[in-house]
Amino acid sequence: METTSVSTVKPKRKDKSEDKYRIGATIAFIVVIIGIGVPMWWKTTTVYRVTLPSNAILGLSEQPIKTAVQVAIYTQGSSRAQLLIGELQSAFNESEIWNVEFKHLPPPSRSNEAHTPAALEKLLLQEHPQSVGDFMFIEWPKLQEEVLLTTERSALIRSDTTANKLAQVLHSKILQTYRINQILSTDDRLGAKSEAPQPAYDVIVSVLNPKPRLTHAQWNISMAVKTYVEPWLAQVSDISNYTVRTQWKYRVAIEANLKQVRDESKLGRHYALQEADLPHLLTSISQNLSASTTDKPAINLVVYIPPCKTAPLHIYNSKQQLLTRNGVDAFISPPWGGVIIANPPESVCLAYANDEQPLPYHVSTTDNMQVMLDQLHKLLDISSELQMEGVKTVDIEQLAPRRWEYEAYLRRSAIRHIATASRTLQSLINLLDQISYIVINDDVAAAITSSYADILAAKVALLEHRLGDASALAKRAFVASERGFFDASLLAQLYFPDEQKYAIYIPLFLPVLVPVLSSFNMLRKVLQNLRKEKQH
Amino acid sequence: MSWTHLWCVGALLLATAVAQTTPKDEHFHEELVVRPLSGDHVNTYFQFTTRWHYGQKENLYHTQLTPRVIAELLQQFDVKELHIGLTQGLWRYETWGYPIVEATSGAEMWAWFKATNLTDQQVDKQWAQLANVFSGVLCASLNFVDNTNSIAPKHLLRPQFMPANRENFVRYASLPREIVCTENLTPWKKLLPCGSASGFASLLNSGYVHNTKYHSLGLKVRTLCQDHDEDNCILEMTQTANLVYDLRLLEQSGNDFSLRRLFGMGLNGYCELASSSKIYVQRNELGARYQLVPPPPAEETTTRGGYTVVYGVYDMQEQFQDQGERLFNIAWLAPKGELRRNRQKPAPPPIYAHRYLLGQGQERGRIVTEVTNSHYAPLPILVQELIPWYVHAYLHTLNIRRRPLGRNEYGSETLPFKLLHYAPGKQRELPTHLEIGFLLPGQSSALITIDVDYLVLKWLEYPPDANHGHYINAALVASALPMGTNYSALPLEGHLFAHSFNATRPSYVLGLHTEALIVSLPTPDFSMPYNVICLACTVVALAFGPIHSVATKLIVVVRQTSAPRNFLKKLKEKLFSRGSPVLPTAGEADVPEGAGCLPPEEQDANENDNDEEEEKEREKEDGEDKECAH
Repeated sequence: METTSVSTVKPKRKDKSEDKYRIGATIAFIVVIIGIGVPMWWKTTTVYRVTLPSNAILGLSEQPIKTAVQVAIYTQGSSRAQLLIGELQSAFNESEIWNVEFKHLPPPSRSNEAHTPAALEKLLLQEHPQSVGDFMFIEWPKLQEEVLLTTERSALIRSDTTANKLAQVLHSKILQTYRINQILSTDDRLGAKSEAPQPAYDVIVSVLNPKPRLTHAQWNISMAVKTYVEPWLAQVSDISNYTVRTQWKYRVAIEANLKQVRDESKLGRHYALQEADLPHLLTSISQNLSASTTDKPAINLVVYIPPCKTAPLHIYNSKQQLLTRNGVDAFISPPWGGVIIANPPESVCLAYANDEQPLPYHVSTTDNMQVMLDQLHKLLDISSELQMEGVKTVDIEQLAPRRWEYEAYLRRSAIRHIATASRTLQSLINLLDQISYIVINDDVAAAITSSYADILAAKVALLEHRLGDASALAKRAFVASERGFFDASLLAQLYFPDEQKYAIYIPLFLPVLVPVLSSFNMLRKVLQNLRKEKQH
Repeated sequence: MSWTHLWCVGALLLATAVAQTTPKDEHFHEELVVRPLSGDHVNTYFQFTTRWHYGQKENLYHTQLTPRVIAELLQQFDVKELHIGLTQGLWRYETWGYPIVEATSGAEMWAWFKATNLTDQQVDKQWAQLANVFSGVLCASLNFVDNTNSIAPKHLLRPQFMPANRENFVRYASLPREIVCTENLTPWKKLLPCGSASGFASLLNSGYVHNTKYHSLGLKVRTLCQDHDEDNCILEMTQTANLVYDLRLLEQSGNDFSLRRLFGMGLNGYCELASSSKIYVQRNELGARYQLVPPPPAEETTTRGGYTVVYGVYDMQEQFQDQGERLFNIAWLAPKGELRRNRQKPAPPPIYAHRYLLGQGQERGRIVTEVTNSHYAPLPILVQELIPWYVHAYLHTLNIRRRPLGRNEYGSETLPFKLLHYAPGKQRELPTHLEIGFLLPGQSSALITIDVDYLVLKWLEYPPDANHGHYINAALVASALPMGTNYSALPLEGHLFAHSFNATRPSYVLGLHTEALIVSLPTPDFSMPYNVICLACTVVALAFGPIHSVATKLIVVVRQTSAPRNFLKKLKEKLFSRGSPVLPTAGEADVPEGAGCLPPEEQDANENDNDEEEEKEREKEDGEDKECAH
């Protein structure tokens, strides 16, 4: 205070020369604090984030996933084929999902030699080879049903089958439009409940024998699995890899409410397991299946051998109706797996009831394995269950699934992978917009951009009629998007959100910036004064 | 859906199918050993052994008695042998003798790896993954095992798998801080084929197990393959539970005890899948004074290395043959009116070890390991030290001094090293690994000392509850005993406790663990970084204000002649001088140019008219008014 009052005594000229320094100091403060300090603070405390093609990713859903399919039609008279094609084309013109190309097949050169539908199909295929995902309708007048779906990529039609029927078959069986709609639907109520297929699964077959002392069940489960399950899985492992493991589990306590029911069998009773109790049963079973060292998701196939004390065990629904069909008591719970109740033979339990020595017996491989394969079909979602009037499907004669069914599965998986990957990436981008402290490091950014590129490529492949490529690309896109989304490095800054950043630095910035900003006002006044002096 | 053609395949299969409830190539055994120890302690040792002759690696996909996770382990990693111990409490060698299975307090784990073209880096990776797997399987903190606390022992650990002749790798780690509790016991029991539903495992109720003075869960897996033939292998998995009860803690009078007293319930039978279920009760030495009810149906005398033990044997499968629904109990009845001091004292074991920490302050220290040989002949001793990276050990200070038993002070007599392996530690990367071998003369003690420095840790490196202190792992001491006194470990080739009967060998490999040490490193206040940031920011801000003002502002003083004298008048003037009713505080903030500030000349003129006091008052009232920026 003393010094300033002294300085005010000094003449005006001196004061003016000091003014220059003050202005210089003010500008220096402004430059250091606002020009260097704040940007440096911002730079050093900012969250590391590689730039992503955000707008392009958000725009992914604008471009619909459209699949090209080629359907060939062979009729004996070409006018009928033209008519069918015309009607079918108009039926599929409106479709947003399908780009179906109908093709009329001319009669093969030696068509009169073909006396069976198979021979005719062979001749047609020789002249017009099909690629993956294609389909073919062949007219065969002597057919009983309107449409007969073969195990390959073809169906036989009768001479009077309407185009309407063919469109129905295409929609519900071959292309499975309703399921694709479920996948693509953004409405949660309509949306598909099941998840996109993962790249690898452990298929774990567990045989539960809760009372090994009293139930001498014998079963070479490893041989059974090698004969039935493994060859079948080998046929469908284009999308996911399956590792089959088996295990026996003993002394597993099942917590379920069992009710004794009198009947006419030699034992005079059976036990009822209520449908509503199945979730509890599943919980107590899954608790006892041992842990795994891999992080692959597991499909559990459980064969439960009830002890004679509570055998035979059958499932009842809430209306007290027996649900056993063809002697099979089984249920599935996707995606967890399925359970088969393998009741011991009556003779074994009779021996138990009469307090005799427990009888050793073999668990039937064929019975249980057929059920298990059927369960796997349903769990992997390969088979088409839909029944249609006048449409019949040829029974499977070998382990492989029907070709058209499997290709529908490939197509569906590809579309599901693309849709899931797009949604994953979009929600990640939305999250990044909302939560500013998510770190995106180089690895994650690479995964996201490669996933985005693969999505685009897969869409193009679908449209270009390359189902195999599309399936592989879509799977890769899906895996990369999951990797990006679930990478642990995203949350590196989880415990230092922006609010804390500001809270900690406010004691510094508030007192520093207020004088610096107010000195702007002073500079403005000084400039005004200078201008006034010049005018004078 | 029909699978008609599959029927014939299945029929063929059925004819060839050979599988049984208890498979021929897989056996499960359960054993329980009860040994009274000195000082009213009882040692109960459970051993569950699964031995699976699986043959080819392919068969590991299909498990029966062996848990699936163990089979997967052999497929996923090149592990040939694995030991995991989870222990609470300390085994008192001097009074209790040697345990059947050794373990150190906390968690301990070691594994042998072997495969063609296996490199050190691959082993490190597999080791970390393996620890993570078992962290999940046993609900233990084994996931903290990594390269910063693992070593590759050179001499002390010997492989127990077959064939171990070619290149193989070993990793060892221990976590002395780990606390073992129910959450470890439950998953451990789940690995048993019968679980805790029946058999000896039904005795292991957490409420009773964790009331013991010492409890140790063990898991050992090893593979035994034929030489040059990887397709003929045996997988051996041994689960052990070693408990020491203090009878004085059980609510009862006298020294009687029974299975029901120890475990809360009697035995409900045997595991149906077990090939043998036997209880062994030690009948000589400290067990001799007890009367057993019911008396053991059979007795077995074993002499091993000149040391005889008598066991009463109860075969549970015989006891429960008549399938009655009852609980089996064994009671140990002590003679009445016996005085404690008359009781037989056990002979001290030939070798025991202790460990201390010397030095003062939080900077320098000295780790001391004392090994005592009470045998008359010299014995070879191997000591393995794993010193964590936050403790710096100085090799040049390592020495071994010797004192004969009976003397209290260590003289200057030192013992020469026969063997020394030293891998220096690296801050935040590697622990110090030290292995020493020497010959300890009979009837004497050896004092192994090494000087250490403690590092100061970064604030993120402190574990939760940092004031608890930091552990220095227990040392492992190994020796080869010429006689079997107190020695009850399983022979290398055996897999059952019964295999240790009459297993006389030229020497007996003994392993001991010392106590773990705890050091308190300087512990900071963990909110400090935030406080420091806030405080530093505040100081900078406080300093900045005046500096900025001095550098950029000119302070001039204004004096007003017509200043009202009393407080009310001043207030009145303040309220009405601006023409509008502005609050005084708000009015101070914004000063129109020229309102209170006069050109320097006028200020100069005004200065003399007013006295000092008034000036000060005015300053207090509206300081802003008088500061004018020029």
